Amino acid sequence: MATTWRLAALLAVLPAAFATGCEQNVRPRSLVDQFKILAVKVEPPDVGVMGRNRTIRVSALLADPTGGDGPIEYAVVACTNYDGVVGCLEEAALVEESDIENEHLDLSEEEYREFFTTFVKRGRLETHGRHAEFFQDITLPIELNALMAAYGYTQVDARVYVLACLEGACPVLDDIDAFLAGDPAAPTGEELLYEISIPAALTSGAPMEQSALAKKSYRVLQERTDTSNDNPDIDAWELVDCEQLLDAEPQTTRQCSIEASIDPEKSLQVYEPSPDSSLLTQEVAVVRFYSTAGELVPHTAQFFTNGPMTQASTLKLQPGEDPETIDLYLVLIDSRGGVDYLSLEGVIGKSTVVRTGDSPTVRGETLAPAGSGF
Amino acid sequence: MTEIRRTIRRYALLAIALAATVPAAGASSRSPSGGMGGQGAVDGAGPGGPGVERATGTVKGKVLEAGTRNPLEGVVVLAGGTELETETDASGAFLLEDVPAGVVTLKIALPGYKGASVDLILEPGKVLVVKQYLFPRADRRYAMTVETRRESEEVTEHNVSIEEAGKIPGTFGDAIRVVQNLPGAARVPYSLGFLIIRGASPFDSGYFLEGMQIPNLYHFLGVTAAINADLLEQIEYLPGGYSCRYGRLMGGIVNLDLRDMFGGPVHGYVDTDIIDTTVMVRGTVGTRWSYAVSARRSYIDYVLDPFAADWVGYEMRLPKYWDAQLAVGYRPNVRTQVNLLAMTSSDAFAVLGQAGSSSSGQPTAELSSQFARVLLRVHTRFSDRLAHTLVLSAGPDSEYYQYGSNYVEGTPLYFAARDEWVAGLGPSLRMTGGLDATMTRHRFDITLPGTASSFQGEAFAYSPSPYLEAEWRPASAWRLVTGLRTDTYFVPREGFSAIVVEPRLSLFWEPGERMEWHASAGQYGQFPDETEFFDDIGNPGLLPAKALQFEVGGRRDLGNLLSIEGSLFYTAMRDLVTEPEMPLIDIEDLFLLPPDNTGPDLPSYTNDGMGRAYGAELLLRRHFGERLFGWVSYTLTRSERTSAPTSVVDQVREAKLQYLVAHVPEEYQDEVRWDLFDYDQTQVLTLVASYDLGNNWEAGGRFMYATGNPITPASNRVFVVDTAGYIPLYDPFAGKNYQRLPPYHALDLRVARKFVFKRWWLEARLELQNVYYRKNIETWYYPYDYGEKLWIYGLPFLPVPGLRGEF
Repeated sequence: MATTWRLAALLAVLPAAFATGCEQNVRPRSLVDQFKILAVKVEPPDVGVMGRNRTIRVSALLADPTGGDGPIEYAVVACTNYDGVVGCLEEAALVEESDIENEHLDLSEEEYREFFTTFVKRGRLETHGRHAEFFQDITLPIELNALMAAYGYTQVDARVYVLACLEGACPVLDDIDAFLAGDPAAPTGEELLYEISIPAALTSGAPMEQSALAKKSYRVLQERTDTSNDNPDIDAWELVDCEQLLDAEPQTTRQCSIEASIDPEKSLQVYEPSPDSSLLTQEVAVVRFYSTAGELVPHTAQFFTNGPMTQASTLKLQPGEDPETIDLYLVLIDSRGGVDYLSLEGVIGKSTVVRTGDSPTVRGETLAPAGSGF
Repeated sequence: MTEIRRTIRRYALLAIALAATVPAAGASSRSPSGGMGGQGAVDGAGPGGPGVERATGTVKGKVLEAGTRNPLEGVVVLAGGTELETETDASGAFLLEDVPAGVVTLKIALPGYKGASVDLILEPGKVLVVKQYLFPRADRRYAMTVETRRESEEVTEHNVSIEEAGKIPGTFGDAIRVVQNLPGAARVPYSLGFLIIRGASPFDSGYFLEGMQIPNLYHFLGVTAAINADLLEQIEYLPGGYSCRYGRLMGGIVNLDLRDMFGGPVHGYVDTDIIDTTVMVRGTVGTRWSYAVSARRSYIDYVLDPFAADWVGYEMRLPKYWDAQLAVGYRPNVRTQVNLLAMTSSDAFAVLGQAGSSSSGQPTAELSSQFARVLLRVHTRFSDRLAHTLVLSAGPDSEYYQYGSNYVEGTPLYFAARDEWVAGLGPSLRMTGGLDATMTRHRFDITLPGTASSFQGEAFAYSPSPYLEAEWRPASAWRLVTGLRTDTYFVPREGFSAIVVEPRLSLFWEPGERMEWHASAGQYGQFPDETEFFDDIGNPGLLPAKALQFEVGGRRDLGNLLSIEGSLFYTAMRDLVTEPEMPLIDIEDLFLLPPDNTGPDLPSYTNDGMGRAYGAELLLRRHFGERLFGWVSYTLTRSERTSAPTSVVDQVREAKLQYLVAHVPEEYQDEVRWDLFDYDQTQVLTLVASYDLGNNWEAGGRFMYATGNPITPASNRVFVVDTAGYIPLYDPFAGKNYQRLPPYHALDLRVARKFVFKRWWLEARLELQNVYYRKNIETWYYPYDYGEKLWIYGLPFLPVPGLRGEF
């Protein structure tokens, strides 16, 4: 045992220990310098399948600091997660409550296509700039209720995957399109997303620098009883106290403080816990600060019920001679997974006045809800 | 003081000379006691002519090597102006009788040493005792003479003398580290001291002490060994195809044999450099007992502690280690040799937290390791044809590794015994049989990464392994060694038992005195680690892993000191224990399951692994003995593994990647995919040379080139919105280890100067590591978002001065 664990421990711990010496050279967590999805929001954060509104809206904030003008292709895949099953599109479990052994119905290709389109949404933005936001609506089928009853669940923790790609970077999107178009040469629906590792399938052949995949959890309840069901809300933000530090000549270091305030009623809700839930009844919200230059310290800050409703982070950067446009992003997430986000813009130069304002965001449009059930 | 002595001596010599001239001038009689007093001898046949009574005395003494004080044998000692001459015996002693009294000039000479001429005043009838030190000439090497115990039956065995090994640059003077420069050995990151031999995993190779496996041989970071190499007779490096004396491993072996006796007068040394200091004393008690005591303590923690936090940004308990050994040799009669060794070793290292943070004081990572052993060896040679060796070993280990909230703590207790008989059954047959048995009390406590659960295990494991080997010489040029070993392993409490039958065969052919060819084949088995088969966390149904090793090779001497040898090898491994692979869901998904659902069963260890390693080794060596020694070692290897001997398509399908089935590249469609082994290094070239420059100066260098280790980069990543964390994704087609780190190469230099005094010597040395400051990448890691690879470099240019004083 000694050799095994000794080697494993040495190879794990020593590099980590040595690496600490270079920590200052690692890109800070607040820095957005790659093609990334920064946030995914599900509206509402909880959904009850017994309710009248079984439609969720999934929105995502995508950052591309290179400011590409080309199209963005994306897909949103909603999955329920039960019994530890890997995949998320198991039709039998969804439509036949008695079938809890995961035997599958013999759906025709057309039927499966309809089923498929319930949970897999495709979209496209013709241009995106430095960041973009897009939406998709998904209506959960009423059959989920039967499934949950069969399992005895009052709630299911589900997931939604959002894939965003530069045009042509993600082969899976072309395959999905071909399948939906009925192309006989396309992979079948089962091959596409049935009982597979969704992340592996979605990113197959997609280069990291041209694609981004994000995962978000959300709760599917049989029936919602709480009256409050809001995502948290960033109420206000402000870039203040920009000062010029002269201690780093010849480079000038500027230091700005960014303040974020939340709406406590929406962001720090108190709600009745589900008997099955292990979630907190008193929410805690975390705000994450991002920027496309410099470093924001701290990267995260927390809001508590009895704490201040404003939190600040300091942006340190060394601007060049010419004023530089810097995007700032705030992502707020509460303890049950509710999300809010916004993007800001600052123009900061070595000696120029800082100009700030809402960042122009390319926004996609949501598709019409697909059929709810089959 | 010296000048006063010289003056007194000058006057004394003058007085003696005057006295001596009186009889020479014609004085026919002297008192029997002569001018010097004392009894003289009457020698009628002396130079004084017949009838002249001549006064004589006796001169006896010892001749020792300056610096080491080792007795010198065969030294010619003659009395000037006479024909009296003698030689020293093995103890360095000489005796000259009937030496004419008066001024005697002793001339002392031995090839390789500076001659000495000593003027003495000998009184008639007296016995003059002399102790003379001879200084080695510039081209004379200080050699540590050791006995070689047994004839080797191994097909490929590289033995390096302790002294030779200590002069290799890059080893910090630690002879045991020299094996990392020999053929078959791949380079280990950070030179950690583990063995990666002929494409085998570090877990498959091991260190032995007198044939008994020991858990660790090196202190952390592999800077130095945990046992003083000066206690050793030889370092035996067996990369493969070894005899059935050794088992329970599939890879290579390094066996350390203790010196039988630490002869001579009391010797000792202090060796110090910027990292640690070693102190050793050895000597004999009477004619039957000898002893050696050694201790070493590092102090790099003291040296660097004030700077460490600023340097790395973390509060650390810097690595510190110490070890100590007590060795006793006892030779009750010429046929029996008894050795006792008690040793202990300790290492500790911890990262406490970020400098200045409130977490300082609570380790974020901690490694500590201690072990102790008591080893008793009794060797009896009953006759030229029958010998018996019994080795007993016992001791506890303690290993503790913690990283964050995960930790592993193991406190096993080892007992081991080897009972071996060697019998000559005629002029051409020799049989070796024995029992190699171990009993281990395993005890561990593990908290696995990603879980909140800890597992405790405790059980006794028994492993008696009998072996029998025959060495047959059907003709003078042919030698056949065939043996059978049965490795067994029982852990009753866990219901685990396994047996591996291991036949082995080696054939040697010596067509001439300077050439030898060999071929070998054999099976080698290895039992799973206890953490792999304990029921709570492992799989009690695991089988032992097995390897079939094949080798052909040869050796040719190209002169007295030059030789070349090479081997081709192939190793086929099966039933390798493979790590449990998590399902293709994110680990956090397991915790999103409803509370009444335990989720899918986590997979356990399996025997699905297969491996193969093949390659060639070459060693061109100029042996130790003259001014220049060194070697060129080259190893060409390819080592591969597969965890499922099925086609890529099947693997993808089994992994529930149906979508990807349609996208399997054509070249993979029908092929079983073999991934490169984690430490596969296609080429390893080592050049080692040391040269005696004369006047006690020596200089050496080592150049090493090794292909970079394979790595598996992430192909993409998943951003987990809820935690703001990232999960890596890997290309399912490319498999593991499809990229490589850049090659490693570095030059180390060593220069040393020895200052020899009568009773002791001092060596000052300077090692220059990585002379041309190659930024070698030792390993790498991803930052939080897997967005780039971050490299961790090896040692920069590093001068390491050291001193060694020995008496």
